[in-house]
Amino acid sequence: MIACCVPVLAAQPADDTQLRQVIIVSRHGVRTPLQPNSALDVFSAAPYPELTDPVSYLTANGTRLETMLGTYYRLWLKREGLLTGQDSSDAAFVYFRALNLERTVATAQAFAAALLPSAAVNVDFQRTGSDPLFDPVGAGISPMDYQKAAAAVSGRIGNDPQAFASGWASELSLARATLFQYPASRIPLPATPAGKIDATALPMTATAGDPGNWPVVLGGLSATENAVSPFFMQYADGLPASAVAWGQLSLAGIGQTMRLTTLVLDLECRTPYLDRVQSSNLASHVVRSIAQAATGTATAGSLASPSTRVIVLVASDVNVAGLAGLFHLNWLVPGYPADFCAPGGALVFELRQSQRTGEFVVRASYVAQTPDQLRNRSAMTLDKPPATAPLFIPGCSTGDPTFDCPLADFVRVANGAMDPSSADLVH
Amino acid sequence: MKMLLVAACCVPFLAGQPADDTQLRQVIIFGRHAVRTPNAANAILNNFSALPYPNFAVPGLAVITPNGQKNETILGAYFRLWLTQERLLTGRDAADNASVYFRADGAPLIVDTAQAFAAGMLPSAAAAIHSTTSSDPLFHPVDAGVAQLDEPMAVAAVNGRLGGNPQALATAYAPEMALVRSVLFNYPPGTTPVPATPAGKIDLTAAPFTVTAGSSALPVNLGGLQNIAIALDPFIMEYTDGMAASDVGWGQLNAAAISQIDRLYDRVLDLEFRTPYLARVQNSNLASHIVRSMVQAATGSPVTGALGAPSDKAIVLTASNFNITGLAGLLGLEWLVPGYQADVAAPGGALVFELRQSQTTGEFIVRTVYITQTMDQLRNRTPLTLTSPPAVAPVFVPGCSTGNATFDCPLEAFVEVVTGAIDPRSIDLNQ
Repeated sequence: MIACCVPVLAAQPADDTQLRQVIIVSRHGVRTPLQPNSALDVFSAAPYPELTDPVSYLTANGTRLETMLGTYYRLWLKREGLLTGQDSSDAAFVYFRALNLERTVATAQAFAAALLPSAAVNVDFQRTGSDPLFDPVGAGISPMDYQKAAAAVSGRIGNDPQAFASGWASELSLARATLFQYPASRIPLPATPAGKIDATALPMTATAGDPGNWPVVLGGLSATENAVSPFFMQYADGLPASAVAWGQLSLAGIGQTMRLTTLVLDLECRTPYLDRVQSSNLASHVVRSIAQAATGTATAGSLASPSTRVIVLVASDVNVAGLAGLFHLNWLVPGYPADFCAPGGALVFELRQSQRTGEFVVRASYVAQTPDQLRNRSAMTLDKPPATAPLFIPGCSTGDPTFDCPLADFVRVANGAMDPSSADLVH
Repeated sequence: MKMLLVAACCVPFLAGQPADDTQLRQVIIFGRHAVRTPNAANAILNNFSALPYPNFAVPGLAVITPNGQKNETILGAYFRLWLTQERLLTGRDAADNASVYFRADGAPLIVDTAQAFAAGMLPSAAAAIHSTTSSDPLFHPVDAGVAQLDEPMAVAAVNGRLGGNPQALATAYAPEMALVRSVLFNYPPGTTPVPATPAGKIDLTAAPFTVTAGSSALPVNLGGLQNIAIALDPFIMEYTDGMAASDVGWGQLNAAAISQIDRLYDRVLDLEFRTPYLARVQNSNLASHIVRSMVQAATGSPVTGALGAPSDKAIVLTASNFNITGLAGLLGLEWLVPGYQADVAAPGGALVFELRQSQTTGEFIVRTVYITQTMDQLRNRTPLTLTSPPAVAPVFVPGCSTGNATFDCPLEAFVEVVTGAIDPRSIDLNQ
């Protein structure tokens, strides 16, 4: 058994590439729930823990965690020679863009302050309306056919959304047990407490949504996900164990409920039709920005300038999941369900150049603090890094250990994946 | 308050669709073999479990069971009813037999499945099942030398979906891992402290998960995860074969628990066969033959690389769950059937591609469904009729299906999507 497990790294040629540019597409940090407790408490026997910050805001610990992450990236990018350590001159080569919400802008600001502590870094964000990069449908760049969206999701589930109830029975029963505070295996099933709503019993649907909300209305699945999604944030924010899911769930148990989150994101963002509509513009800007850096020539529809070395885009899990889905990227980080978009977790696209041949490659990874790095606010260094999952880019990555993808192939794969009518060429 | 309105807004999106004016011209039924005995001998499996695995009604490894045969004939009889209603079959079996092409992977299990299905579909005819004892390029293109698998690439493609850390699957699937161990070692799930491994037994859940070069059966070797899948595989067969409840997972598993525990088995199939590189190498040839057969039927002219003849009305392909999973992966097809996990290729379950023609415009469309007996229909050997049908999951074909209720996909767009998905170096143009 041991003898056969030669790591895939063995006998590979030395890496002669140098990092030329990095694009970090990140989710915001740890936040408060998206709904006020008054809306959540109808789904739970006991009230959700009182919040110290407004609804849907980056928390104080979330800010600290983003600072730690920015510090780590500073160390890494200095080692890679992309940052020099002279912040005020480096600032000219760094571009930050955030979705225009408090939690995403604050995340970008905390990250930037640690990446370049001695410089004043501007975080670019849309002052009014929807940012076409992160919400192209809302911005009018990319039309969504909501009927087709419902069909595309329905046609992944046999047109029978109620079948989620059996397909995810163990997650839904764990969610119910946690929300109504009884041991998960209790028989007979305790009744819904008086005055409360059993989210898991609401009809599951897959009907057309509308602008500003989820593109497809998932009914009870979405309501249940909404009720359990605060648990991981409570854990990551470092709340006392008794306040994490009312003291009822270990990290493993929370991880099981988090599968409902990845399911909802998978349906809403990774369903191919929805993915193309919602993520083509972001993919287009990412790939054009990479090409712009490689050629050194200003390229329409790219971000910042040809000399920009670091591009940090901070948005929501919807954006991270959607961009990953468009390229068929999967990852697994210990402590999380597969493809989970962790707070502060990012898709990282490295543009690297071979010192020998001059060839450009794209190397992709998913980088995130582990659940316990978040909860313990563990300082990160090059020796104690966040979890890094190298990503194989289908249709492009070669079989080498870092899954390098030649730039020309990356552009070809991206062009094949995107819907050109859902992208603009605006900066 | 908003949530309370959910029920009111659940108008199925089927409402207000135009009437279906299409007629079925050809159907391709691509099914998995029926309920079978385990792939590994009890002498091996018993190393992994506290109690011995039960014996099926027939001896031998990976052979169809008598109940599996009955279930497959029940399924064939359902297709007879449906295809007669759709006027693709006439009810005159001998004549119909001339326009049905059966092709089965060469293993006895699979040929026997095809024969049992044919016995239900065309009971009065002697259907010829095409099969080969060497590797069939349709179902085993790598072994047949039609497609080349680059092993380091296969390992990288799978590793690069797992962060290069396959062991992390053990924590991601912690509830299922704990359930597997408790069933195999026969203690209630949740027992603390976790009971020790029984003397003389092997704890499969403790073996490392790896991704290394595979074999002709599995393109990459997943180490401990693969062995867990082998140990789990008999449970669903015990259930669907109708064994006494006390013999299904030694009385510890109901249908819901089998479905949950099988997530580990399903994940092996996902990694081995839906990983895009692997799906392309292993399923391009099958996809190519399917789409060429449809074009052949639509045009009425022989097409190279198609199956059967232009006049064939039904093509029945019988193979394994990895073929169905792989083809679905290549085309991005997914389904969910009550009782099963998402995308499970159940015993006898089939991807069904209908070539239909509009009576008003003459336009050809492809309509895709996944059809399978539910776990309880199998267990109870429930007769199937048009009014009590198997589970039918309409399937949206990404990049092709329109937003209508049956997810119709214009033939031309279907050809384009399939052509874009297949690797032209991994196909042949033989029958």
